[in-house]
Amino acid sequence: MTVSTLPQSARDIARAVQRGDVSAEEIARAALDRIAARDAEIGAFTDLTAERALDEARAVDAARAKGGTLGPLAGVPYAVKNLYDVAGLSTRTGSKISAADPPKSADALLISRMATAGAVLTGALNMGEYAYDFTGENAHYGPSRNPLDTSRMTGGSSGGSAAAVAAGFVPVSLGSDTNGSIRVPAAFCGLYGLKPTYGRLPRTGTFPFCDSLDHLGPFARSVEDIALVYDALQGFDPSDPVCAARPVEPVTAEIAKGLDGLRVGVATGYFRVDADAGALDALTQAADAVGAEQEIDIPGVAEARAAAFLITNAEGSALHLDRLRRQAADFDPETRDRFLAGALLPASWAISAQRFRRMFEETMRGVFAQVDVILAPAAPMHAPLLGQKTIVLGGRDVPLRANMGIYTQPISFVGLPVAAVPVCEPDALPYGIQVIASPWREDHCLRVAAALEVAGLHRRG
Amino acid sequence: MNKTIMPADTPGAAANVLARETEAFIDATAAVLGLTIAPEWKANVAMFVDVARGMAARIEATGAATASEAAPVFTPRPLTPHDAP
Repeated sequence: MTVSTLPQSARDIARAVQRGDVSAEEIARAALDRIAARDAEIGAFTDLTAERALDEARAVDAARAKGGTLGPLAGVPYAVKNLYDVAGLSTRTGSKISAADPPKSADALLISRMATAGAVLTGALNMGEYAYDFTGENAHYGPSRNPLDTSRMTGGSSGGSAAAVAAGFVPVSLGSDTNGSIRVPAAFCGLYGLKPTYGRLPRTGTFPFCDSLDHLGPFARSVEDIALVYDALQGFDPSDPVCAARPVEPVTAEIAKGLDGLRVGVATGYFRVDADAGALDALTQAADAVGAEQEIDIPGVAEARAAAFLITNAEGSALHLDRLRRQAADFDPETRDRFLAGALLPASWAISAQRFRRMFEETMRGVFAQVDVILAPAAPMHAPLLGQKTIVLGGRDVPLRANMGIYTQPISFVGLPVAAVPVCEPDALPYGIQVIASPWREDHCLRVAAALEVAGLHRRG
Repeated sequence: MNKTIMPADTPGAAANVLARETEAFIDATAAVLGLTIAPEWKANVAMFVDVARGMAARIEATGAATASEAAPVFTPRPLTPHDAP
């Protein structure tokens, strides 16, 4: 095969490698070449693991030569947000401070699962410092730039994870999502993403932001690739005390089931007040494509967002209290002041927010008695310009970093699974839709996401 | 609205009271925690404290403080072979 005829999606790469149509090493070298050619412009990677990638690819090829059974992601290049431990690398977590920590001796658990599936790690990806970010900007390592328009933000905090996939460097990547850090960058970069149910994927070997709300998940350019990676990542592990003791519930074979029997509603009220015209149009297009007619006005969403904000601010800041005491000046100024403020908050505010979490879970129980899936915007607008500090919400200028997650925060607050789905008008920047289901029903999210993909809402002109 | 928790966009004289309360709160709490907040960082820190204060007022108004069990309930796991079911 020539470089131009190499398969591009994770599914096609794995099939081609399994058949012997192409070697995993050839695929890995092509990915490394793409990164070398353009990443200086994009800023997706902070660490390349080229030797490791070639070693892992050669191991896949050797296994095939011996007649061994290859994994479902055989030869698929990928990369991870730099809060995942990678053996031999310091876990930067987007910071200057943690970059000085000793290199890790072992991989994060999900990286081990990707390796077992045959995937090939190409490196670690840029992110907002300590994941307290919706922009993809970083004072220490520079911004990750949106491959669709490099003057614009990728969104964050998994900015490099989105950029690496949107730029075509790798077909899939791994990120994390506490308040929207997979869903917002997926929306801004025109990608699919999955934030599974809270507790579904073990977070062992990743640097936390806010344990109460932290999730891990994949980015890809198709629903099928999201499903393939997600299935490879699933499985209980007691090393993460939050990980639920549930069986693996594969979704790859489920997405072909379509919409049969699914009741799809559209979020209204809070989810439309501050959305711009493009975001509202994208929501309408998505609703029309899947025949969603029932409007759902969820009570208490603003309070859910407020509670998520408080828990994140207090818990995230407590994690960094000692660093704030000793090295506050070494933080990115855009995160430092929020962490300092969070460290000061009265405990009663955070504890009441955790109590409201239980109340809002009961609210959502009532909502999911009416529908199986809810569509909502992922962000109130498309990707802002790099360097932009404020956005207009409700006619007021408000800080961008603290407010880009207004639609994502209330959903992750109660751990609901969400697929992010892009909606693109010809020659325009994409918007993102959240496809939200009840806990443990990632299959419902991805069945609706697949229906939207088939409807062609993601295609740019 | 009670005296100690007000929204961040409180207008007029009340805003001045809020600003003084926030500054005093930051100075006192930072000292207790051993945090040094440089003068040039203080305005931003105060803004974020005020945002959180507004958020806390929203939650307080729901009655959540007494209405339900907090979400992160701790479930002890078996620590020895004798603990397993």
